[in-house]
Amino acid sequence: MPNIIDTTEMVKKVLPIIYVLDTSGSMSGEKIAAVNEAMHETVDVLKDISEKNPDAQVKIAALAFSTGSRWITSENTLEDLEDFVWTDLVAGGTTDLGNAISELDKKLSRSELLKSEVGFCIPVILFLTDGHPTDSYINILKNANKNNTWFRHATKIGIAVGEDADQEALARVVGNSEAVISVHDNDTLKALIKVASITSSMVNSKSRTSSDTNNAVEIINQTMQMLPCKGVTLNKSSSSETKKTDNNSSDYTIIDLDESNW
Amino acid sequence: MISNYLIFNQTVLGNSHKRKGLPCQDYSLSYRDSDGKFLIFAVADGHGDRRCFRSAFGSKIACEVLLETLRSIVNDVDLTFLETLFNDKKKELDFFYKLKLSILNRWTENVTNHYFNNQISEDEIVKFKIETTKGLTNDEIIKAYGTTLLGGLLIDGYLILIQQGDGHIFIFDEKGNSFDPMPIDKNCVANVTTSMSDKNALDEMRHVLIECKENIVACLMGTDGVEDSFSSLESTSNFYSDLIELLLNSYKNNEDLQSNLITNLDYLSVNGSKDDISVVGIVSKSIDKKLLAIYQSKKEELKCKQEINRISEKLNSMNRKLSFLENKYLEAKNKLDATSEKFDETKNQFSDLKKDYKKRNTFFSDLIRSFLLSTYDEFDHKYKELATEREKNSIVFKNAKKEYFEYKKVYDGLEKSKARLEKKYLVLTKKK
Repeated sequence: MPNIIDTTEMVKKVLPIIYVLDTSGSMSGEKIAAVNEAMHETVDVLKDISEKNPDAQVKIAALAFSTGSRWITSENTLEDLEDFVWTDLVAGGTTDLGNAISELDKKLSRSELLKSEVGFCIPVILFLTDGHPTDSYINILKNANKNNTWFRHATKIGIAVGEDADQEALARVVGNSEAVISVHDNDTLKALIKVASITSSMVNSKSRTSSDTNNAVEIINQTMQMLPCKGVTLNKSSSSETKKTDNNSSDYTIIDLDESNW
Repeated sequence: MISNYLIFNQTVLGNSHKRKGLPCQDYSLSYRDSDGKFLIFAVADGHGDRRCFRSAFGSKIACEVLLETLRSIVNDVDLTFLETLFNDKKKELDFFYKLKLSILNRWTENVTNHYFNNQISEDEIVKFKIETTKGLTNDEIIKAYGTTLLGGLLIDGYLILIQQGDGHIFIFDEKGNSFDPMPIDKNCVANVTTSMSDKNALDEMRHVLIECKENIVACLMGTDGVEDSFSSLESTSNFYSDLIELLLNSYKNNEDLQSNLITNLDYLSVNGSKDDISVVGIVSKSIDKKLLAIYQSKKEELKCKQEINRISEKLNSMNRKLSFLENKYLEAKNKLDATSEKFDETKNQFSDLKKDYKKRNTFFSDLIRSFLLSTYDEFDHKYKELATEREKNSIVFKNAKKEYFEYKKVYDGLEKSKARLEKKYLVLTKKK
């Protein structure tokens, strides 16, 4: 019999995690510092998790938007975690969310950002903003949802920073008000970015049907359970209360990475 | 004609399902008509979502329904009718609409019956965290059995193929080419699939009718556990060409085909997708050594091309960090050079001062001596400070240099490998 085993080359699928980060003027100071700090730390944690995930290999992209948008990571490829370096973001300018969505629409395809010899899991896109969009994003969003299957099916999560964040706009972008988390202090913001990234890498490598919209909600629910700090609000009518724990510290707690979690 | 084809099916439990104690949610079947008139084959992949807790039954029912429906076609439809479908699009669409409707109606009816004849068990409630207090809605019941379905009927020179959801069908022609004849379902991307349980399943279900003469030597298909084990559809196609060889050899050497299949598919699940894996298909006994050699050469060519692409991808991924590390290294170098220059300057000034101080020490008044001494101390302090700074910058520089050159070495090595493979690929394609 021919030896299929010898000729078989087997690989993990790629799970893209894409960060879409508001770097407008209102993010300056402690907020952007918290984002920068979180991104440095998140990569280290994700490296560890990705190695233990038998289903998928996490790769990263990051898009910053203020007056216009620009890729922090390579424009035409997702980056391996081992090749990822975070260069600190500086805040300034307006909040051109529509421009960022248009850029995502342009790049989310097998000939651009998702060009690879390896198959893909559906991407996770984390949108983070503290303000109101300053450009007209609604038609751009409609087009992206209509024409770009990757964007439409992507698991999209919104992080609304502070009281002034336009939660309605975020809910519209992620397609589900339950997929938006509000965060009210910088320590929690830091923890949230890390934990949401971790849960995304765990949940989104599982297969699902095209009519399901619950991956984002599952990620958020798991994030809320894992988050060791207060100051987070779920935008969910049934559970719109601030998560409180006995532990007031915002320090990152060790997450059980036992294989059974996968 | 039909007797010239081998038919097979095999399903293995996924490695991750074994680990989690979950049932096999795939199902497959193959059927050879006892009068030798037709062949039917089907494969289905029940969804892994916990809300699809009866998907193992859903996939079995889907395959059985397809078998039943396709058999009824053979009995009910005049075969000359199939020929007329090639030239009449409306007639074709009408025929397949009825066929799909029949498949979906039977599946929905059978899964609903199965649900009401088999109430949710305690075990299911615990394992799948099912909320039963309100009871399940009709939609939830259908969803519980959610599955994909792929299958076909080969009869009298015609191949009818049906597909709902993900997975791929590979047709191999007599020239060694392979292709998926099914129209693309845009909603099946990455790990997202359409389903038999979707409300618009009738619109989503795909079909293809192919004239199947000597030009088609094999038709194979599988659940996504197969293609998820490979880096691309071309690699998956190569796997199926290996499978063709395995089938033919097992047939010619009278080996136990099922056992050979199980060994290979188990290995694939453990080292590849970890998912349940099912394959079904038909393979012509007419495939000769020449055709098998073409498959092998295509495989070598593809392997080389993929390796080149993979290296290119890695180089792209490394580009930004390489330039980041280079800048960091150059900055550290410039900083060290500047500190060293300053240090050397101070060192020389200090040395001159020392000589001057020694020479003049005896001739000057206490006041001047005191002034010289304080200048001396000041220089001494500055000298020591600069020495410390230079040492610190030197360590930073060494580390940055090491980090940059180590990373660059990997990058350069990959570039060399890519160039070597590109040459090899040229040779391979020229040979062809």
